[in-house]
Amino acid sequence: MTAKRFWSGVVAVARREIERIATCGEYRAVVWWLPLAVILFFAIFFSQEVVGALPVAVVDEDDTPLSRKVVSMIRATPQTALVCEMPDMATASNKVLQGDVVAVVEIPNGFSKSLLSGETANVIFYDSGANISTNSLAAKGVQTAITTFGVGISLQRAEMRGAAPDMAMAQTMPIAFTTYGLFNPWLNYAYYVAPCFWAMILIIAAVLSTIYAVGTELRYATSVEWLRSANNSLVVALMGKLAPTTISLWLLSIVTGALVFGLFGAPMQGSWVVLAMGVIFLIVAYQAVALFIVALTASMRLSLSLGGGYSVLAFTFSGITFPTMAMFSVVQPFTMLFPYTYFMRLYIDQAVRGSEWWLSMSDLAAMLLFCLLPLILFGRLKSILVKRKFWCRL
Amino acid sequence: MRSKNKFLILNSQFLIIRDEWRRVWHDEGVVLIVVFALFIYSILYSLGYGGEVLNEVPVAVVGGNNGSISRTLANKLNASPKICVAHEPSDISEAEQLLAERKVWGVIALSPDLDSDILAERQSRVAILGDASYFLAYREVAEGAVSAIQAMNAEIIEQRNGVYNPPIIFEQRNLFNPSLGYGIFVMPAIILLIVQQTALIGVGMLSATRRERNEKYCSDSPVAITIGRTLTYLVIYALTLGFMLTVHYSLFDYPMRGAWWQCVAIIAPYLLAVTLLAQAVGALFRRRESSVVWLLWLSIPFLLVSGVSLPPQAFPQWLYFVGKAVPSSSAVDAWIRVQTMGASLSDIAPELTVLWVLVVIYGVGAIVANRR
Repeated sequence: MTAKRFWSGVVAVARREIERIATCGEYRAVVWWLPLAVILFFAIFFSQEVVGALPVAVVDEDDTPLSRKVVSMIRATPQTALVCEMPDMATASNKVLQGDVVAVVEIPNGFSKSLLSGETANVIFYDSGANISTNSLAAKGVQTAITTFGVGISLQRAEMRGAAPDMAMAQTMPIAFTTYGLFNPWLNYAYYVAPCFWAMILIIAAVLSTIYAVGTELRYATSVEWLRSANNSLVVALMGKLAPTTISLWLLSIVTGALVFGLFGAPMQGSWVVLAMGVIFLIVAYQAVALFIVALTASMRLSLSLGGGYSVLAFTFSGITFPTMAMFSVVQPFTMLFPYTYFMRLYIDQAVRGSEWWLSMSDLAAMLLFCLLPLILFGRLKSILVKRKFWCRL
Repeated sequence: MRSKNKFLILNSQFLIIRDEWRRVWHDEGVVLIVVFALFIYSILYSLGYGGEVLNEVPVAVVGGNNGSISRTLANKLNASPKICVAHEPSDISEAEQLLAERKVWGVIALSPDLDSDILAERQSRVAILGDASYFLAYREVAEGAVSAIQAMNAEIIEQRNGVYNPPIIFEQRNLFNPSLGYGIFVMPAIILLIVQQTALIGVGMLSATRRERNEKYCSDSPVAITIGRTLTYLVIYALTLGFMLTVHYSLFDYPMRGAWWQCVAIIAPYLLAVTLLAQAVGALFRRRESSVVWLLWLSIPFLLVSGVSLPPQAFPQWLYFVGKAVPSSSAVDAWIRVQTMGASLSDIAPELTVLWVLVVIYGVGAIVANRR
């Protein structure tokens, strides 16, 4: 086949595919409207950027000027909104069960007496443990307030003993510490979690649109017509067919990128070129996996179920919210079966950490390996397309 | 005459159920989604989150000049269950390299004069640098390092003064999930969401297949059809979900504080609302495969609007309220409070009310959908 004939074949198939997209509402929805709608949903969902103040109940059993000072300090932290002061622990824990507050702070009786007599007083923070992210946010706010208050008292005690201010600091806290969040100093939850969801939408779109594009040919017995328009070359047929969806997926990723980095202002510290390559490899890798699934099952419906499941599972097994090192050791290798895992590593390296470009090369290579997957079933794919018994299967 | 009429109604009701029951089990696509998907996904997700807690996160300790106090501190850091000292690089640039290669998730930088400062009773400084691009790891590094340094401070003060009595101790007690396990936190919500997602897609597939093949129900009454279909799906999900909530739950040690009747009080309206919604939505699909194509996208949005993974305070309030139209939002909230925290039914009365309102609304929707 000459190069000219090859490309004219690709163009012919692509033209046919664009017409298919233009005439089928559901196809248009899969390639364009549905992913776009969910991408916009995330833009609205994460529009708030910071977590609003969390409701916490306080039980001030001591009820002295000192304990009230602690209460007002807790109230002043940005992470907590003190909705209510409760008379006793029983009422307060009921509030937790009713979902009105996320935690209870107890200032026990005798709090200020212990403080004034130079002994140790304690403040107890009860959280439900039912929601890890909420609880640790609320705990952080309260703990900061209490620690600040405690250090103030220690300094007063040391100065009362006659220590100079800096000596007093050294006496209360021989080793001072500061905690820094590397790469994400804002500790902004949305910066870090929203791009993961956006990438999920891209892969769901890649998988569903590819299965839809090839699967409908089998389902409605048009696969021979499709091959004929490609001069019976499967390579031409696939290139022409996937070109329009691939391009529209790239357009989607540009829209996503504009939202993530433009509207949203997520950090971008590394190489744009590597990140763009990562996005393209991610899309093509998932298209390849989708093709593989269609070739394997020869059924559109089964492919959609399997492909859909495979794309949705990627999130859990990427180690992005629940780190890979915490998983069972037998489960850890499964994280390597999803191109998304490599993409998120690349994204964090390039966008968030600003790592060297070559650190992401292994991730690009891994995604490239997935692109080779359909080659294994190339022969089978061709025979499925021409054999009648695989057509019109539901 | 009257009793015969009654018998006829019961008989036709039975026929609808038998017909729908057979359709489910004779359709491998539907069986895969409605029956097996719940098991497959629940097991895979539970395994994925099965490690439950992150501990012994590798960190690097840099600086300190190998003095005895620095060594003690390094040992204390290593002894913390949350972190372990995996590397002791000679300078900060070497530590940065280890971070970039993901060999460590945090760097604890001690002042080079730590030993001499402490001996001279001057304050020394330590910087805890945690990799905040992975939040769970960051939290472990920060908490592990802070508690090790605080223990070190207590020891130093005790050695100097003979006693250590800090003015305030901040005690954190966890009421219901003592290990703060990740699976215990997310899985109860995920299992209920899988039920909803598979019911919506599977029932949608049944509705569309009938429409595509132009097959009628064996009754003209939309109410009877709705009752029959709903009962069929209820029985299936009562069995499969019942298995998940007993066997699977005990295998993975998920919290089961609620009594069985409290669980039924939540699950019954939830399954009703979900299966009725599925019938209503199913009317929109013309082709067998359409329900997967249109509904798969919703898994993550449904999880997010329920306010489980991120608290409702983290996203626009109106979205949280709009999200209440999805049965999982109220059910998951009520379920976690009863099962994880041990709340009573009166504590979750508002959520149960929402669920029953949804049953009525989607019930009407299902009857309208089954009319054609």
